[in-house]
Amino acid sequence: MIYIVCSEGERFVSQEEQRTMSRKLLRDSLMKEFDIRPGSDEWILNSWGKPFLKDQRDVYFSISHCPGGVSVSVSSCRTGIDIERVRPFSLPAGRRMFSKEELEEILNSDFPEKNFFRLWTLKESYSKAIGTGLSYPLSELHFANITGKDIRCERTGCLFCLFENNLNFVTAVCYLCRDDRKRETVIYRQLP
Amino acid sequence: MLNLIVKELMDYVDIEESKITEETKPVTDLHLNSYDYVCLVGKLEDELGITISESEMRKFITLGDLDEYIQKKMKE
Repeated sequence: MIYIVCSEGERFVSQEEQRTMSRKLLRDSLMKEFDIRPGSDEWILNSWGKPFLKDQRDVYFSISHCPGGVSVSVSSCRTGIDIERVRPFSLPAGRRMFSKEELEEILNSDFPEKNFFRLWTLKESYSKAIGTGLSYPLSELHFANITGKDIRCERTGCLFCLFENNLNFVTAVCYLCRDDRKRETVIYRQLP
Repeated sequence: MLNLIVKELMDYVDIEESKITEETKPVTDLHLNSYDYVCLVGKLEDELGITISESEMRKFITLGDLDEYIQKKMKE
């Protein structure tokens, strides 16, 4: 299950608002998908700070937020999610995390800003799915066909989905399993 | 150097500056997302005229780690 909530107005501007909404979405989706309501003492962090549920080996989740947008992915396989608002991007950040070829392709494309954040969120979703976050060298992870429906990644055993909306948010989800996750329930909410 | 790091960091977080110390972890304590973190490092590189490699950047846990690394780099 994937929950994406975006606002075209001034919602979720503060980090506190973003965290509050992401915790609510996580609780709702864990309840709907797995019928569980974990208590505050049932969460543990791995060595990279990613939270897991104690005693729930087959329940995986990931949360992401940015100003104006919050997203949550809950699944029976390892998952990572990342949301960003499309906006002017930092070229040095791209040089650091993208290959030269990837960056050239973005800069020469019709929609460089959108493609920048498509690629960024795809890479970030993978690093979150494997549980390392920024500790993973994202410049070594390469994608192809990020503007099409069949996103390809050199890593085997993972599936990627991209979601976009007319409020200019891009959300990427990674699953570390190869079954048919395209049937995953996606709940989209747009707030004023 | 920590003062400069905190000054740049304030563009990305909403927390009182006085609450940030060298023990603060930007990702886990301040919930800085990865894009903002990478942009922050890029701004520090530009401002100080240094290069921080991706592999080094991945090792920083606290702002103190980043501060220590930058100070070492500035002496080179």
